[in-house]
Amino acid sequence: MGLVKKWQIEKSNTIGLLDNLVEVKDGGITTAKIADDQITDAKIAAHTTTKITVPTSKLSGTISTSQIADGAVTPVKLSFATWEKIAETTVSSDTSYVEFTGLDINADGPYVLFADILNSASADGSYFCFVNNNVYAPDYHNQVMYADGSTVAGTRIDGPVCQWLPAGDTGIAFIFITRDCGGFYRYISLTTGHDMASVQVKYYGGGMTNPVTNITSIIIKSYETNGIGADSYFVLWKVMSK
Amino acid sequence: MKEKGIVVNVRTGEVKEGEREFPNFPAPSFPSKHRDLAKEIDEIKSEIYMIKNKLGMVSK
Repeated sequence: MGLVKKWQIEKSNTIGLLDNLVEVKDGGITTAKIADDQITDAKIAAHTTTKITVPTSKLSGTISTSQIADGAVTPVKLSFATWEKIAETTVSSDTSYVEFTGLDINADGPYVLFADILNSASADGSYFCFVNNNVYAPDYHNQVMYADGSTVAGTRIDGPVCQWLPAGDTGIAFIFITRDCGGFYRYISLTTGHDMASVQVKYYGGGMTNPVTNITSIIIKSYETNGIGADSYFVLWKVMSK
Repeated sequence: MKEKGIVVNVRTGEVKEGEREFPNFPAPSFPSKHRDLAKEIDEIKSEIYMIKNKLGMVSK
């Protein structure tokens, strides 16, 4: 560094010399101090490998999706696994079943299905959670425990029952769908339903008699024809793989 | 008999109407049967209480 340049720096109010290196006296480099007021890629050395660390104190409320290159927080940008919604549908007219295809439980991990159902049939009826296109109820078994007022009871019956609703009533179910470590399809369904004056809680657990190599589809079927009414709503999540 | 349904493909996002055959099997009776039973028990309990009350067996 020339003597004149050194003298100019020493006389400056904004920059100084520290161990023969130029330092900013107010401790900050703002864009106003850069010739063209911009921090461009060219000004960041080896930016493809250098990490830019933003102090935690500067993070709060300063990073929005508009500041991300594609404007989206997508699963691949997360460093941890979390539940990811993969399907959502609202029934537009009374129907008998809702089927989810294109699944791969070996890759996706367990599924959670939220089923908010109106029993639009004229009779009380059960709902089933079939998998892999096997809709033959005797191939499945379930145990149910339920509470209805002071009555708490349980039984084991055939069929992958995951809900039961009186005609005209609504109810919700969270159904956890798995292929267990023995290769068996197993599910748990936590439900409530009925009119509020006689609201019930029912807890179902069950699965298929024989093991399966994968689970590629799920079918929610009402025992009664057209027992899934208009406005019934379903959401399916998977565990995001990492 | 074929029944109508909705088919959601989670890979493509496509939602379409479907139709498939479901084999017949007996309707699962639980919990409606138990619910009816519980109702009957409650009714019997009420009747017993009313009879006891008429007989002056209910302590006031």
